[in-house]
Amino acid sequence: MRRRLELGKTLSRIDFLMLISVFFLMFLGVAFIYSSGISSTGINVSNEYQKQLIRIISGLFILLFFSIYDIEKIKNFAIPIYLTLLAILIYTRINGSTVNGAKSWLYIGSFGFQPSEFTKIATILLLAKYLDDNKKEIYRLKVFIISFGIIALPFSLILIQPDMGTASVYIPIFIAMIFIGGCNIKHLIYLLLLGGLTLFFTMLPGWEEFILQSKNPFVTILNNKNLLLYLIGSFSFSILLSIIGYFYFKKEYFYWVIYAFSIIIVSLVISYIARTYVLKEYQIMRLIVFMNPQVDPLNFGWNIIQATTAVGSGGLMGKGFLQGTQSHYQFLPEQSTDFIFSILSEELGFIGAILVFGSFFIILIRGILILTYAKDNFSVIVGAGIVGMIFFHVVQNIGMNIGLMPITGIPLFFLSYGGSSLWTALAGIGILQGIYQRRYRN
Amino acid sequence: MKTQSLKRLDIIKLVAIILSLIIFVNFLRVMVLGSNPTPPEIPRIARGNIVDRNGRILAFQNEVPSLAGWVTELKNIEESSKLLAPILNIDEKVIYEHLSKSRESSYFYIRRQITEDAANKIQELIDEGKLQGIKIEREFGRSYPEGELTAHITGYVGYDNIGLDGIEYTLNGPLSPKQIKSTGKQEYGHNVNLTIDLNLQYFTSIAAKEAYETNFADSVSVISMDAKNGEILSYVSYPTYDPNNFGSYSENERTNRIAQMSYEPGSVYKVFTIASFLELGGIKNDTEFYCDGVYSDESNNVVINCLGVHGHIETPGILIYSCNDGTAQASESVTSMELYKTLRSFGFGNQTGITFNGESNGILRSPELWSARSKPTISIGQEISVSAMQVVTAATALTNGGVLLKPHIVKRISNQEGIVKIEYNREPIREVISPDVAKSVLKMMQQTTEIGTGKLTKIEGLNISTKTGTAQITNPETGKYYDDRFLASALAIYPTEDPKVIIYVVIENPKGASIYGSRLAVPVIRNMIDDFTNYLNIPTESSPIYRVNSKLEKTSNTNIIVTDTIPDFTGMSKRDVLTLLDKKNIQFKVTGNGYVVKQSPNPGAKITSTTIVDLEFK
Repeated sequence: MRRRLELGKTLSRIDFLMLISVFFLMFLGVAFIYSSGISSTGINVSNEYQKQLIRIISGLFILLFFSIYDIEKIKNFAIPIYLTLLAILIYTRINGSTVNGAKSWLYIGSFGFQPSEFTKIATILLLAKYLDDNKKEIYRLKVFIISFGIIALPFSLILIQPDMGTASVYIPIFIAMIFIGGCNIKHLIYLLLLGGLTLFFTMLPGWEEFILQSKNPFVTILNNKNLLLYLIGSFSFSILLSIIGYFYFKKEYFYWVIYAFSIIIVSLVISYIARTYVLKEYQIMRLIVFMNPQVDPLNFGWNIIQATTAVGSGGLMGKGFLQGTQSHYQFLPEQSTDFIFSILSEELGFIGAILVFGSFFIILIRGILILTYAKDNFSVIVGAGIVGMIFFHVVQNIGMNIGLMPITGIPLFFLSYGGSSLWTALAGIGILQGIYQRRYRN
Repeated sequence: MKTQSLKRLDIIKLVAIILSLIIFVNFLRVMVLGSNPTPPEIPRIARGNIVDRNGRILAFQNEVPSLAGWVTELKNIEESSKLLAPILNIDEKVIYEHLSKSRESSYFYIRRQITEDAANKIQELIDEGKLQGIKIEREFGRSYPEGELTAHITGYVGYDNIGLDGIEYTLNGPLSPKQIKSTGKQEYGHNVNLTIDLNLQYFTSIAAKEAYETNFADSVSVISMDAKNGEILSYVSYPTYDPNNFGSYSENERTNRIAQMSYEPGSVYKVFTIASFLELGGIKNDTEFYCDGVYSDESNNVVINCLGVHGHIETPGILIYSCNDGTAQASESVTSMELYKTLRSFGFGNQTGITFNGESNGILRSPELWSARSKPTISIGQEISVSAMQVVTAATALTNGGVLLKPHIVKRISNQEGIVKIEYNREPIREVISPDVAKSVLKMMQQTTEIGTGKLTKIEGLNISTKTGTAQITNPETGKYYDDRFLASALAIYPTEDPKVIIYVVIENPKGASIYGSRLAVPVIRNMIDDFTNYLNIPTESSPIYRVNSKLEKTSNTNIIVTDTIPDFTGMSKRDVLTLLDKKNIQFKVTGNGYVVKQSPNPGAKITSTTIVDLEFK
């Protein structure tokens, strides 16, 4: 009886606005998964929408579970859950099924799922636990590095599947959590600059070859191993001198020299390795066509051109449900997953897209508000990770549908076809709801 | 702690709202302003031309019509098939099935690359309002005016303008570069200038074809190269095919044998092994050998037969008589490792890097895998395999004072405005042998022409270095030699004293009266040398400079300045010459009328008071 009262009380404290938005998005999702399965001749060639309905219903149990269960208790299992999922990721890399070129799927019988999706939640929980346990020392470099390691493990395992899109989600998760956790801003900025510069150096030769189309002396340095070694050598020497200077003269000035130069060296080295050994040509091409889709309109640039065309052709009211041409003539690949937003805005127009925007905006704002209500540090950090994850998915997916972001196959939460990502998103919403309900406790 | 988190939360809120705004504004840009409402025209790039060294076109772009259909607009499929069948010469039912087939994309090709004639007839029907949902599309095709003459060089292009073989394949990038910015106008790929000379290619092809047909050979490959800079002058392989219609030829006909086929070279290889022994110091030019008709190394149970009993011979004799016994004895003077390393540095066992696809590495196993038999056997050109490209390339070491060159068939790549993007010049790789060794091997090969197996190459007044070979062909199934299949080959380098041209001929499995390289391959070379010498203005002793008529007009009105040496009068008119000689007070003797075809002394000789210039006009 008391338990039931508890449950009743729990439910009454739910953030309804956020939940309604989630349900609305899932409803739209099913409708447009149905639409994307219609061929130009008007025949339904796919039963994806039925499958999606089943996933939504099963996903509701996950949502309910995480809303009721106190994540403070999961904290104790964070390490084993994290390690188990890492093991599954390794297993997937070796024995997984290949979908779109990446070994990212596991099948149990006929039921397939992507472990890389669930790993997000596990990683968020472990990182939050670690940051919470070490909140007294959060300012120290050691904590920052270990936190980075916790993220880097699943990140690299997913990157070598290779699934650049899913892996990239870990970046905003990390930034949001460590920032809210209270890290030293110097460390975070160092990492951000390093990442940005690495990306810059990695892309530069491709930019020269495909967009500039003439030789640029600076880019030549990046391509010439010997010149690169000279450059790295001279920077290293400067750093060495600065280290000596720092210890003898104890001047702040030397610290910043080391700080800046080491960013340059490390990013040069990483970008060289990435270009020559890690990145596949198609991955670089994806980023190149993002800068200019016309570089290769029939292959890599195709998606961007067709997606923006679909979005742009919707107009104010859209062409009407099931009336779009971009989808039914199959101009767009992956229309039920990655490009569902294009289909939606083609058929429902500006109005439909605004509804989607609005719903996601409510989820985002309510999510951040829940963080301010949260009762303890652990909850705040977990919540930050989840909000970061959802927000990044939305920005990245809609961004690539309107040509603002490079094409990386990550789904639009709640709308896109796919069970693993839907359940992950619902688990995230569940955790946020749980934090919200327990806001007054103690 | 908590307050700090809250402060940072505010920052997060701010970042989130800014990002949302950016997304939203861009969304408005795409959707409301419709800045990208229709996909831009997909640019079509016309492939660049492939031309020979004199600019004669070997491959160019043209437009061909194709027949395409739209599923959504197709109507009266039955009637359309009936109308199309006679024009396309395809059975009505086949067309009907093709049109009514359910397919994933709504746009499809009915037939690609149809004739202009058919396209016109179909266009008429379309104009009449028939054939709904069917239209003529213009797409790029490729033409090869020289057809099978240059087939193995150019290769061919498949649908969608993508190179599938030969230069079209290996240089697909420059010929048809990716389009970067849509400029709204027709874009062109780069032109490729080859080192091939179409005239020489023609001479070569005539000679090769004759050998192919008269000997009923499986294949004949002939390649000639500029001895001084590694440029390939002609490149012919029979059987061949027509790249304009490559689909109707078999794989056998399309195989680019010179680069792709590897085989046991036989005695021609002795040129390189003897050069290696000389370079390694194992033997000298005057080392003596005694050939008793069979080489036997009893301790290792190795027996190699010689073609004859050559008695006492010196090193040149080995090449002159192609003596197996002598070569095997000479091989004892070096270690396996030394021999292996020198042959490697000649380029055997590695691709030469020529711009052709599927180039063979040949086989040259490392000495750890050699048996006791291997060293003498490899020395006579067995137990290894080479490609014709490797042999010609290795020969550049002989013609360049011991320095191996990189072979090339592409002279330069330039854009449509004629601006040169890449130029390929003489590219030395490494010094393989000393200049002395190179010279003496060439000399030995010249004696081969004079008195040895290369006798049939002999041309009066011209020093030619030759080496012939007759190898057995291995049966790939049993790993043993066929009893009745041979490979006749010959390598020629001339003129010996200052090599200009390297020619190599390989005749695979001739089935005529003879199987020997000295009988079959040498005449091919002889035929070519006649034409090459004339065309390339290579002077011979008996006939001084001979020039082809095309050069005549060029020099007829030039102002030759006579200083203290005899100028080149060739091609000058009688009037010009006489004026010139009168002016300078030079004594002369004249025969015939017209233009100068022969002169003596040769150009460059000193003029003395006793000089009498002898001129023959024609």
